[in-house]
Amino acid sequence: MTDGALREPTFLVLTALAAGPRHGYGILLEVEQISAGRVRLRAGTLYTALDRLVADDWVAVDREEVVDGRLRRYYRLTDQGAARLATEVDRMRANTRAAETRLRARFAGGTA
Amino acid sequence: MSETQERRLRRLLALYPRDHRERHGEEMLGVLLDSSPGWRDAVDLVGGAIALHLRRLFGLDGQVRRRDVLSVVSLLGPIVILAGAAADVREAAWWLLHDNMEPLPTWYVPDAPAWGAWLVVAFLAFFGQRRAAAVSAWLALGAFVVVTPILSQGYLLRSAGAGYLVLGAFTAVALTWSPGPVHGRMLAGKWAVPLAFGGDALVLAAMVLHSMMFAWWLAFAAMALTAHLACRAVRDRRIGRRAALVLALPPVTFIVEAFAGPWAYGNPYLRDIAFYGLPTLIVLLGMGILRPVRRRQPS
Repeated sequence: MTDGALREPTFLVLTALAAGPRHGYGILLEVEQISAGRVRLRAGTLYTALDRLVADDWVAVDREEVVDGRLRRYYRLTDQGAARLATEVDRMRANTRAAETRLRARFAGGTA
Repeated sequence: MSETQERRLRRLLALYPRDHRERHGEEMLGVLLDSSPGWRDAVDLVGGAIALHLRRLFGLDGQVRRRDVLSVVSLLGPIVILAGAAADVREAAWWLLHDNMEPLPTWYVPDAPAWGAWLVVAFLAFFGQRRAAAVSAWLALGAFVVVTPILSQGYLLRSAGAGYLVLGAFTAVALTWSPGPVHGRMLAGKWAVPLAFGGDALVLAAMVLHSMMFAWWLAFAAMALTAHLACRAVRDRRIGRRAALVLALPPVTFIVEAFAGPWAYGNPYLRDIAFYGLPTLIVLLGMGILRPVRRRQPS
């Protein structure tokens, strides 16, 4: 796999769907919660991302409902999308570990 | 939520590509109405619409077969190229209308052999003779490159006419390596060919009825309109858009000449970049041939 780092909105959308299917507005709320309010996706950005994620088979439509006369479409993470998210998590974990090690050494050196 | 706001949101959603609008329009409206949209959402919607149009235009959605686009070009390309003959037809008409008794001199219509060859290509393609059309197209392209410079000092190739040469090259490639004009006709529907011929007629009328400079603008506007309309007839709009990009090469080089000609003429390298490199690059990008290697990474 030659994939590079995911951009943050993509990572957060995939993470929002990791626990189970969600509709568009649900994804927006979940992303805001995951990022502790730091990232607030908007509809244009969300559906641009979903357009590509669905085209790449990382996300699929799970089901549709009509609520108060409005279409509500639920999306789910595919196995391929879950594998990509797991790869990204491993990559981030490795980076985080390396950063932690170096920071620990730096602080240890600084206080000695 | 007021009806005014919903109308405003619908206007913004109308900016999105049609396929996206049909699939997600109502759904997006629902999400927007749930989230009390403000001006930042409006800006975000416009940005999303632009991003999706660009993605479709430059083939990044990866769902359009280039062979299908080339099939449409193999059918319509030879017909669109014929519009380039309008200037020679205008000159020939002037010669005949002024009761010249002598035969029409070749220097008066210097590019006639090339246009004649493309007329043959257009007929062969129209009647589904792909192989014969492909061979003829390469010969016609050769006529552009070899004969035209001898007869007209290569004016056609050193000006906006370069668009015909580049379109000719794409058409020859399309006739040689795509499923061909019969497949193109299936994709294009019944109106594309009449519209393309109609465009030729419009260009000819513009050339014959108006003064030269105005006629050129009118002719290239007619060509751009024809490319657009003919490709709107294609059932899959994404295939149509990419085919239109190829067919619109002559108007593109005309516009390049209008704006960049004065400085491009002074330097043959700049001229070649402006008349050949730039339009070719645009088409290759549009066909998705030069798309980024890592296009399958959502971001």
